[in-house]
Amino acid sequence: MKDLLFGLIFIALGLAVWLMAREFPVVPGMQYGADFFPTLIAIGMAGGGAVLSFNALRQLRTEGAGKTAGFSLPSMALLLPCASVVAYIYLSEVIGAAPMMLLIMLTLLIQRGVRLMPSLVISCVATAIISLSFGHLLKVPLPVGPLGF
Amino acid sequence: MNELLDGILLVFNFQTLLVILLAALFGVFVGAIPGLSATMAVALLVPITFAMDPTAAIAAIITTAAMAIFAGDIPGTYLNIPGTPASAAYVADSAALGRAGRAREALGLNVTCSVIGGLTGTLVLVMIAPSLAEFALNFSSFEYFWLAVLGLGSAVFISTGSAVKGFLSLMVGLLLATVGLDMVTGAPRFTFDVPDLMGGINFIPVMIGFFAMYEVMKLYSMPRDKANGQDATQTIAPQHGSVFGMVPTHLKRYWKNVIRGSSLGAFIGALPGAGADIAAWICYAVSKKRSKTPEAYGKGHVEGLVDAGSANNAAVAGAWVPALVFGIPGDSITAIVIGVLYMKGMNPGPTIFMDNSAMAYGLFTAFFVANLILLPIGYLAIRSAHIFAVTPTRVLMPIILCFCIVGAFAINNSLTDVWIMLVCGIVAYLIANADFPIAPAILGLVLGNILETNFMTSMIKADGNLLAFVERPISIGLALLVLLVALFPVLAKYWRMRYPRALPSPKEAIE
Repeated sequence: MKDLLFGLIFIALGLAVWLMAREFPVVPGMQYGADFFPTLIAIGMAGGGAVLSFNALRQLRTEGAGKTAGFSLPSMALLLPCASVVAYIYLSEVIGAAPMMLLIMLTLLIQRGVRLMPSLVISCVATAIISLSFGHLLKVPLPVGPLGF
Repeated sequence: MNELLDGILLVFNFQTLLVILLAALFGVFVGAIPGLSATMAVALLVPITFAMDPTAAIAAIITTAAMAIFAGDIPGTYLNIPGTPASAAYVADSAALGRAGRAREALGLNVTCSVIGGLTGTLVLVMIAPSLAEFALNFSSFEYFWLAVLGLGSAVFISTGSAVKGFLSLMVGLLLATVGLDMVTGAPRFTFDVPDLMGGINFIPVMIGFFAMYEVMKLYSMPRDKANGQDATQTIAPQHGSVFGMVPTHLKRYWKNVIRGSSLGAFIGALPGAGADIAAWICYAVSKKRSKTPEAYGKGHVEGLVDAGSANNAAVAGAWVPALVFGIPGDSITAIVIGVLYMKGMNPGPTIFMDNSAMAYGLFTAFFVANLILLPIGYLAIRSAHIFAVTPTRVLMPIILCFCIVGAFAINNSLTDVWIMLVCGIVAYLIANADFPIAPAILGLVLGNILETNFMTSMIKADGNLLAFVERPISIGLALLVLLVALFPVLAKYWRMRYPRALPSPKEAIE
């Protein structure tokens, strides 16, 4: 089932890549332009996707739908790390990199059932180490918030 | 001679040695914690190495990789959870020894074999790479095109799992490689008008996304009770005996295995696309097949441990041969390394031993030092193994996520790289969840530009005549090699039919 889905996704992706590659400018007199490799990749993706979905369909037919439908949804917590990264991208300029990291770590630790005090200590120490090592030793311009760090 | 001395001096100074020591401790720590792989250790290290001088940066990466591959055996032995995929081949044996209270003996033997394997791999690198580079000076764009195809082909066909999925994963990597200005016509491709994407996608955020962000997401996708349950079950059987006491006896008995494992491991590592984990699997299988007591394997027998334990460390060094000489990575660690080499102005390729000979010798020296430091640090790690058992991943993952964000940002001080890291993490999670291998995508990203540029140059040179690709003697040899690699699954199937149980099934190899 998963394979069928991914096969279809790859076919769609291949088509999209092919459509976009057709827009690339052509240099007169050259047999192969900027669109040549992307087109090959598009064909590869669509072809591979077709083989994958075909195999998945054949398996579905021989084994029956019940056996291969092993779709178990992952825990919703999966979205938490992704949301944290997005939040960092948009908010670090506003409230500063260090407070943002502290918030991210605290949220993630508590979500995994670490108690409040240990979470607080771990996040503070880790934030201090990361901002000092990157911000001061490696001179990375991490955004500074209104609190001054 | 002078360059050799210069190279050695580049490593034997206080700063570089301190970096090596710190990198060793970092490597042991990351390698010994299940779920954190050697590649992840290297990917997280790269942003930190930016401020260092080239030799120190490369030495740090070499040491971290060597340490992490050995350290993966520590939780494998104590807890039956391999710390890195390269330790998975013989985890049944080492865990059985651990349950019998012989963990220190097993790990002592393991660290010794790792050192011997690592040194053998380094010797192979030192001896083969310069002469191969001299040979490679004759290569033109045709040969480089075939080399790139060979690397990509091995990644798809020799790597574990389904070939179709490997191929699709490769296509994802190749597609990522086309982003940016086209090198021949100068047309922007897939940049979506984002100026930061004009120069192409930076390797490092992609690696951090694929190997570190992905692991964080994997932990959070598990229900909380299940993930925490894994931490709680970590109990260690009481241990006795000294670390190195039994090593001479075992080595005397199995010295042939050490030699076989090290040399075969270095060779497999040098193949593009096959890294330490595949080397360990193949050497374990060979060892079992050649052994007088194959029935004892998997029940706490040290013979397979000797073979595979030396093989995985030998492969770490072997993988540097194609990386340095051709700029074609042998495994995912060297894929990261190639990016670092370019950024440090140490462009990989056959001329590296002429333009940068002092640095190349420095690199060899760093390999020797890194493998020798494995003994003392490894000993300390074995004696304090309980630390790794009580460090739960649920505490580490949030910290790693922040490292990922800041590390990806630090490369170009650009938030676009953080976006790339996030997207790659999500893509890696989605495709790995559907049993797609990740290594081909990485190789596709690294080799995509080499492949395309050399193809285009060759086509312009040959005026569109495809036959020119097989007209030169070396290029036709390489083309035949590509064909052989493409036939590998068929040959392996035939081999498995004739000699059942000789090779482990690919499914097991992924676990």
